[in-house]
Amino acid sequence: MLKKLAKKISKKQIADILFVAIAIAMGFYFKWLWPDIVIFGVFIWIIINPVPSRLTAIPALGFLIITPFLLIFKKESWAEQTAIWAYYFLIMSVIMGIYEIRKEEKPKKS
Amino acid sequence: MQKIVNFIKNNKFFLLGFLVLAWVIFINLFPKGYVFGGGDTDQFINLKENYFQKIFYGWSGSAAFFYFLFYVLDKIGLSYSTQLSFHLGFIIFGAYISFYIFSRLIFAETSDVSRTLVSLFYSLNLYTLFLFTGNWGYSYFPSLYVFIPILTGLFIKFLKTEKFIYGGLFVLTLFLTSSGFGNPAFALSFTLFIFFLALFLVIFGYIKLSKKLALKITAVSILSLLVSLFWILPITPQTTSGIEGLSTSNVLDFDLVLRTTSSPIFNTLSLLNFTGDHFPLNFYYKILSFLKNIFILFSFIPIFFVFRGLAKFKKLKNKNLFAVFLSALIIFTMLAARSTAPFEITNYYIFHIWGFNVLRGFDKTAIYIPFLLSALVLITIGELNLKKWVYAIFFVTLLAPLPFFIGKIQQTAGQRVSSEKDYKKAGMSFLIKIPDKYYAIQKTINTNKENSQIGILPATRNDGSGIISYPEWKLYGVDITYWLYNKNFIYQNVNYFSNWNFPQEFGSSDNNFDWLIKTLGMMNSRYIIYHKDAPDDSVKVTEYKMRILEKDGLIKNLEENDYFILYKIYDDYFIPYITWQKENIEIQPNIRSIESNFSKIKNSVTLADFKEINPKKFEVAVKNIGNNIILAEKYDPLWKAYYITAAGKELEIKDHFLARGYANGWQIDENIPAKKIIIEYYPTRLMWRGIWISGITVLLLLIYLIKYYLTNIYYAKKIGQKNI
Repeated sequence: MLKKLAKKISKKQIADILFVAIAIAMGFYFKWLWPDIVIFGVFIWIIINPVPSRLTAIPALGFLIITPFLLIFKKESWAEQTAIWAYYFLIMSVIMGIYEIRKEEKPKKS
Repeated sequence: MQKIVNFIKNNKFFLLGFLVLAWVIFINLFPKGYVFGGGDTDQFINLKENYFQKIFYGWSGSAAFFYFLFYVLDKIGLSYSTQLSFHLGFIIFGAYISFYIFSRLIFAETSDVSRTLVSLFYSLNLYTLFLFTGNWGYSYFPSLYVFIPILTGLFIKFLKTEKFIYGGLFVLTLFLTSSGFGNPAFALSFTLFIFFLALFLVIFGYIKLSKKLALKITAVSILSLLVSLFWILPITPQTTSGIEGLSTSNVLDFDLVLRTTSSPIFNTLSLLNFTGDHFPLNFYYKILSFLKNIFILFSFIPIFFVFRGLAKFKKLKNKNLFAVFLSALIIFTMLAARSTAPFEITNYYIFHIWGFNVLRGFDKTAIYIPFLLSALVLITIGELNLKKWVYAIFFVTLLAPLPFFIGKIQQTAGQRVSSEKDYKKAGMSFLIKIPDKYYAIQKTINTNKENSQIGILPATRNDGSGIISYPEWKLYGVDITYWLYNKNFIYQNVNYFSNWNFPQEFGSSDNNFDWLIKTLGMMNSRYIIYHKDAPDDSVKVTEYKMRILEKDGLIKNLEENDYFILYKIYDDYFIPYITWQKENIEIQPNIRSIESNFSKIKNSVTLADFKEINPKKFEVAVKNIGNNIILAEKYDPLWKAYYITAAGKELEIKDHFLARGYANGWQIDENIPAKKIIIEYYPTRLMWRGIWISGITVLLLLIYLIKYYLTNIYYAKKIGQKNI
């Protein structure tokens, strides 16, 4: 069973998982909050395996929509936290945007 | 007539925007007889008398353009309250027009409705509301806000088209923006802004760097530097020492400033001011208080639009520019966050880079956020074929800075009056009425043409920055009466002597008070304005002492009323502005030193025969009268003195010393056959050099632009008409 699984997983995938594992380990080492560790893991994963920017923009939008409501309900520290997560996903979206723009440019050149 | 009708038809949305702005000016008209004062900025009044002395020379050219407008307004007799309305109009109309031009330059295909709506948003938003309900809006800093869009538009257009005409216009606009850099920290933040824009334009493939473009960028950078030299040169020696001083100052203080000006991410992205003192977090309208949360929601709508654009990134035509502005927004949001999460460590290192500590004020980085937001919103609503109700939502969002539309940004919604909702009833207000009595003594003081100063008393409690407090007429901040008179002040809360505030000691000393008049007289004060309108505790411990000094014949009471007493210091205690002094008599910063040395100084000085070339330059005739020449200005190594020989050669007098415990003195070498001596404030000399260089550069640029216009537009049109 394990042998079969090992055959299916390529070397690149192993390297990817390793990178993400290191990122998560770093998060634990620096005693980050678990959502920050997850976001950092996602960040590393999508750097290695780019996804369409809208996939990261949607959680960014989601977190941003929650923020003012938390603010209205006097949960300032939560609002600050969701805004930070929105900001993280914003950065990811911009990086994914670079991939998309570069991708579009390549066929134009060829 | 038809032409006008066509113009209105073609520009109806743009003109509608004008109507909205005109309404804002109208509904927020400032009350007659009032001026703006308080905090560390105030309205500069009476510029018809003081512009050249106190602004042009006093500030070595910084902000000279901006205040020249007010000099003209003052000259034609516009009241100070109308000048305030003009100030508001200049910023909001200027911002609107500037953003409109930016959008025409970069997003020519965007509809006029989108363009107008977003330009209005750039002009009237929670950031500009913060400026104008607080006190920053009434200084010269926001003039940079006006020019950010047009400068960015010209810069991007120049990089994209590589046409030098846009580079030339950029340089010329930068020249006009100079007042916005009156605080050089804004110049640094603008350089950062432009640098990041250029970097992201390359990263996102909007422009391609080539050798040719690099050369053109270098040329525009050099020209930008040349047109800015008139304000850069004079501040160079001061900035160097200022930044060094800051770098070596107490790190804890600097970090405290960073902490207190930190804007969390949600505040920055929504433009809700982080202090909570401003609308809508501080909701001024009690009747409408149930709408507070709605307005908080409104403030987030622009950034929702941006995130919505991000979710549709692939569909955007201008995705490169969208990514560029978004990346810049990410950077400037991080800088504005300072020591809030998650940037505590990153920003600690960034703000401790040499020179970056000048960016410690919130505005230095936050001033770019509304523009970046507006540009991103414009791309989103301009390209995503949004339904009409989405436009309606954005239109409603424009109401987020409600006080702009229903008034009054200072009378009822001003930061200092917002708890009372009425500037007349509130204990503190930025709108103040200078009592008429202060105007009444202008004639007495301003007709005295001798070079002398005015001592201000008594010392009052303050926050250490030297600001004053006259609660009788609600002034707490910079002393606005300074602008009424053509003489400089010796302020009550400023240390002229090392670690010695003598007006403060006057309040606490008990026996003999003669030393106070000797000190002020030695410092070239001809008059004293003693403020009876200062806080009671200050007046209580000083007023009777002034009466004793008056009785003893040291000072003459020229005018007394409920607000102040104007005294004149008799000649026996007055030392002129520039004097020869036989020997250097050292004064220690204490009463005893003044008491024991004043007579010696008085007996050893002779009035110098001098001519004022300008308020910062004096020509002194040399007659072997003494070994030292003393200038009654606070010691500053940038005051320099030069021998002028018979051959007209200039030699700097190197022996510059601290005279009389506070002033500038130079020891004269009698062996040098000098015809005259020039005393000059070095930055003023640098300013004139800069004016020449910048002036010639601007002239050449104008010639180029006129030539370009004639050959490429004017004649081309004529030829076109002939061909038709």
